[in-house]
Amino acid sequence: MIFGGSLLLLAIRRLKQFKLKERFTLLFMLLGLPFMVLAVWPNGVEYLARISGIEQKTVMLLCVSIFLILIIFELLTIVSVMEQKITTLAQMVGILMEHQRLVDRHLDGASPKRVETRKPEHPNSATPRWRSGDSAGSSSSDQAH
Amino acid sequence: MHKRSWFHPELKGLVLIPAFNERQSVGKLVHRLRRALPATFDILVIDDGSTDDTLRQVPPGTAVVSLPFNLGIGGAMQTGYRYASLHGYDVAVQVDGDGQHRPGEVWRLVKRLMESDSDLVVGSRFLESGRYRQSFTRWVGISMLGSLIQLLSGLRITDCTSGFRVANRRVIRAFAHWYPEDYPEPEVILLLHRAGFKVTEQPVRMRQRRAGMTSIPLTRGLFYVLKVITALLLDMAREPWPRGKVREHDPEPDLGDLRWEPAPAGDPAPEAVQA
Repeated sequence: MIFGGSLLLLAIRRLKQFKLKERFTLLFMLLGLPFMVLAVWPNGVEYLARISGIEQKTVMLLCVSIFLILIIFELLTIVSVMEQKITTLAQMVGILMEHQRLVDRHLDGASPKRVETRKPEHPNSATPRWRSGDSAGSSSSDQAH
Repeated sequence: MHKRSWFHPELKGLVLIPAFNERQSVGKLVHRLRRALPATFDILVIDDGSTDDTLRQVPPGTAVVSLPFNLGIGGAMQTGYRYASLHGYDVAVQVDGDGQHRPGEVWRLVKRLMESDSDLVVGSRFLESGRYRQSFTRWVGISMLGSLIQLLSGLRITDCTSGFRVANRRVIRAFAHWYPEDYPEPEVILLLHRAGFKVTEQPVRMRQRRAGMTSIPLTRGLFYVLKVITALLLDMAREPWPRGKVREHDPEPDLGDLRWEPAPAGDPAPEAVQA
């Protein structure tokens, strides 16, 4: 009873916090509801086993575990697709940053004022600015240590 | 100097150097490649989320794609092929960041690609015997994988794990579309062959490794071979390329959502200059 109820509550809470998508909440509700029903009616397992012709109650357990394994399989599929998408995103971010650096350099070259203000001793013009800024930041923090 | 009968002066080539913590070798490698290659060949270093200062060792003026986190060799290589595809390069050369591959040999590979009707030319250490010293276990592993590829596809490749290879435009587009992730070298040969691309080998000389760490330590060699064997067998179960499959007479594979053309490098749109 407590387990089923808390499962339902947890799902709705996550949904409220925008941590869980609606369709996953639905899945959890479907998972939680049978527990609630069984809590109210404990002999339900036996009844279900009898009407479905299952003689050993452990076989019922097997059915439940098959169901859970299917859910895990589904989740791993989702994770794989996500991973593929994240990889593509990272690659495009890298390529776009390199492109942006080229455009920046061209723009800097186009305006003479900026050329003057820009440090000529920039050690590696191939380094993206955010990266050189990063390393400058980390080296100064190193000095602080 | 480089103008030979097979060489087209407008041939745009891109040398891809995946680098993960290769601070000791990457700078030297870029310098040597610059000397060995004509001006129409660009060099792209793909920094695969290095934790050392690999990025700072890259000589100025070299294109660097810096990945926000480590994607592994497959992800890094695909980044290079995506870049090559988006910028319309004719030829992509894959060179390891550890300095194992000789810049002087790049030409022999490109020449072979242009002269033959191959789509991918793999530089092989083993075609010329006795040049490259190799530990016995590694040789066994590589020849096992080679035999498996031959068994599965009928294609004989002596050095299927070699990362020294040259690809033409068709292969660049196919790789930009999809590329295996973990240990891509042997898988790619099988997949390309099954998709109707022509893969050939060219004997090259390679250096023994000096600095950095090999991506496949010897202790994990067995694990590597087993994993690649599994991957190769699994690859047989699926189509060589997902969606928009690349067929033999299909000059332009379906790139799906990748149809994005950047402005030519160093030549931004005029309104951007005014702004």
